[in-house]
Amino acid sequence: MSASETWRLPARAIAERVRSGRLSPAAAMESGFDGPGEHWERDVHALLSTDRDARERAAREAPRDAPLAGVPVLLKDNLCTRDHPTTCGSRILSGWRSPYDATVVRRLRQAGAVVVGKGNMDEFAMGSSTEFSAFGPTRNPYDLARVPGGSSGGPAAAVAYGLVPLALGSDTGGSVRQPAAFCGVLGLKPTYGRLSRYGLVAFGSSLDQVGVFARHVGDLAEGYRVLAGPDPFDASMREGPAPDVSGWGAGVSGIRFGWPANLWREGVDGAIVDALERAAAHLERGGATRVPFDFLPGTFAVATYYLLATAEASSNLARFDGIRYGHRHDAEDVGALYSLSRGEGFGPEVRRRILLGTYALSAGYHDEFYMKAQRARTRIAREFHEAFARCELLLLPTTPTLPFRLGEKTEDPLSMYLSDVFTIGANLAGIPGLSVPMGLTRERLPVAVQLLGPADGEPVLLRAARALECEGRTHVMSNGYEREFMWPGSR
Amino acid sequence: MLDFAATLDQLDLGDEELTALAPADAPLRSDAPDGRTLDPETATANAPEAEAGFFLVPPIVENLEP
Repeated sequence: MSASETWRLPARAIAERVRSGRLSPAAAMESGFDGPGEHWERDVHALLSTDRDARERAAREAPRDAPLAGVPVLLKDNLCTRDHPTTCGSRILSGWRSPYDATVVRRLRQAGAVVVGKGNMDEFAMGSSTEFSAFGPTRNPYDLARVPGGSSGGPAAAVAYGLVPLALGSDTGGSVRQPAAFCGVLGLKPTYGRLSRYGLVAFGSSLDQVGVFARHVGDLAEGYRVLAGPDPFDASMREGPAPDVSGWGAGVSGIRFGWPANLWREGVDGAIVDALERAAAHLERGGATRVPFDFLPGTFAVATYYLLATAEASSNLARFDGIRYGHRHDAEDVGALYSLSRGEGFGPEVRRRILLGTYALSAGYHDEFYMKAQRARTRIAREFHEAFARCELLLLPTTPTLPFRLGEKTEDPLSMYLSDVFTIGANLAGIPGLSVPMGLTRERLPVAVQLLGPADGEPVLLRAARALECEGRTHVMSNGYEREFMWPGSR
Repeated sequence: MLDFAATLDQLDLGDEELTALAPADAPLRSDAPDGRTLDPETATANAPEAEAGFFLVPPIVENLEP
């Protein structure tokens, strides 16, 4: 394989070549920009910022004897970086430079990875399509008329089209898993408290998790291994070492997977139901057992989430006031400065959620909305707890639909919120979730399934994902992965 | 959205506890400097208006006689 083709390699293969001196980090990085980047980026718009000097400096400084040596990584633009701006897809933070790196960014750099830039996102991670970015939408590389999902749409699309083999996003209600499903890549939301959030700009602090995108299960496992673990700068971290994911290739023999088929009896695209059946059959062929049962419908989770997440957001986003950083509208008095700066700096979806969250927390409505949602959250977490007494993982859809068209849901917030109906539960319960691509539909759109596990269940999720990846090579996923070998010229 | 939130009334939540995800024994670090300090110039570097390491704001006390 020539140097210009290295973007096709898994992250682990790039690192292995860099460690052995056969490949330079700069060549690995520029391969993605020169090849797929030249071909796709103008149409897809996955990047919010990249700076050739900064990425060349990062490539020079990357340690060469490390697990991710020379691996190019794109970061969602709500992860703080010293060498690129951090905007959260918002006008209010346009041009803002963090004085420090997020802990996960520092760990990536120590592991040899090269940060190549920042990926597009819905403003402050509020959205499911990346259409609410203040800097223009990202488009789905499989169909430019369709959305890549969101809110981490930029990183997902960049991994899908080949700019980078690994990317980080954040997942508050599905913002890693849903775009992973729409873009045909793997997306992992780890257990709450396993990846540090120090330097992740907060949205809903009891729900936010940093997540990982990859095209290969082994890369996902390596990314998780490098990133997970205690951080004294994040008081919400779980104690003790992160689970060992090195057995991701161990197969699924003896594993029981829950099959809550009541959830997709109606309202789920037929291609997704078909993918679920295929995934279940693959797991069974690998020696796993299907355990059917009914599960609480996801609409309760959506209702709970949009009260709690907005309440937390209304508090977290109070820091953007036009005084210490960000957009400022000069005014005669401080009150006017606050309201004009925030009114101009925040987009419509962020304003909507701040208003809803403030209302849910307000005197007189607090019990009816916020407290009720907190009780519902406990009920939902218990439902998962009881399910995991009967099985090691749950198999269910990532999304109810295939990638939708740009503009299709922007005027109907509830319809947009319901695209997270299968992902939100994991955030409410603090458990890990993984979206696994299951190939392409006849219309050549990505289709995916989701695996959910109990807290610290990442090892079994990765084993199941690997089983689907192996089976798929010769069956359903050949189309999905074929994409890596199609480019360029065969589109 | 508020009408949609009312669907939660269909759940019997009578004796459910409020959710608390953070462990009661949340890990605490020692109460000592950890080397993370921002000097005034760095702290105000992103400020829309700053002077000599201070954030500038409009007057917040009204009718103040000089």
